[in-house]
Amino acid sequence: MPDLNDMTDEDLMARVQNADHGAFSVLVHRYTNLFYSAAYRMCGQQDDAEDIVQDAFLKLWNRPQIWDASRGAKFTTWFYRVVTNQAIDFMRKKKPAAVGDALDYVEDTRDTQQDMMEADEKSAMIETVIQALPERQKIALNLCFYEELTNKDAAQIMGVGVKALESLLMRAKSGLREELHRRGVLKQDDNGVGEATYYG
Amino acid sequence: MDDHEFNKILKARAVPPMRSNLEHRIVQASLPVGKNKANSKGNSLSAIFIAILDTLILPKPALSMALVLVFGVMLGGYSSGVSEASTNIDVDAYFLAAETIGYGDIL
Repeated sequence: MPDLNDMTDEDLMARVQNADHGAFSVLVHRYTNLFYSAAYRMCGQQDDAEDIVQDAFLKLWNRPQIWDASRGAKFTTWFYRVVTNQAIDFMRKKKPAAVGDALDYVEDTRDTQQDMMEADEKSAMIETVIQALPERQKIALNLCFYEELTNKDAAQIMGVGVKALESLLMRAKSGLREELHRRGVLKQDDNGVGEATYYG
Repeated sequence: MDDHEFNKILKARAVPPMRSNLEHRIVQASLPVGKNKANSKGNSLSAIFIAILDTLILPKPALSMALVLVFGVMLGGYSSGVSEASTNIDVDAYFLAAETIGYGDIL
């Protein structure tokens, strides 16, 4: 019997479609962390991100037929779409919340307390500004910049053309530059795209 | 500021680590459905035994409440039956006494 851990995602999905719980378990252990990060970047809350990932995986287990192997898509690309949609539904149901978790956590790579506090504030500020972006701009930024997907894959996940995605990405970044400059995270002479504004 | 510097600032965005048991939680949450699927394929004795064991192991608040309610009703019914029986006995004893003591008997 082949070792499930050595199988490709697509082979595991074929097994999941035959109610193989072991195959499902391998996929969960392989990708929970990755998709948790993606979900967190969408919603900015640790608990919500965990719920989103859990719901997405349970959807996969309860309705495995939603995966269509004949389309030739990679499992991860397809599952990004599931998680993204789950996150959008979740956020629309929920009121926009303050960015709490980002304030509570910062990677401890700084030397002094002062540096850590500055890094903490900066990280929280970036999180707040990103969360305030229009939904589609935020998703485009997360998928391309943070998840490092290709524009083609990100466009496929979002169900838009590559040109439209590039436009969303450009507007997201220029909007971020302006807002971070306004909040003092970027220095006065750092405002490279001064004329940038937010667009829906 | 060039794009490289700007990207570096954006990368400073931190993601708090997830709770270590999230994977386990997801797998556990999917288990009852998975076992039901397995059961529907073959109703072997072991599958039934596992299902019964599951109901004992996994917390099922609704089932527990229902069982407690049924148990309470049964217990209440039993105890009211007992008190009724004892009342009947007392009444019977009264009538029995009334029959044995006739009018004009010296008490």
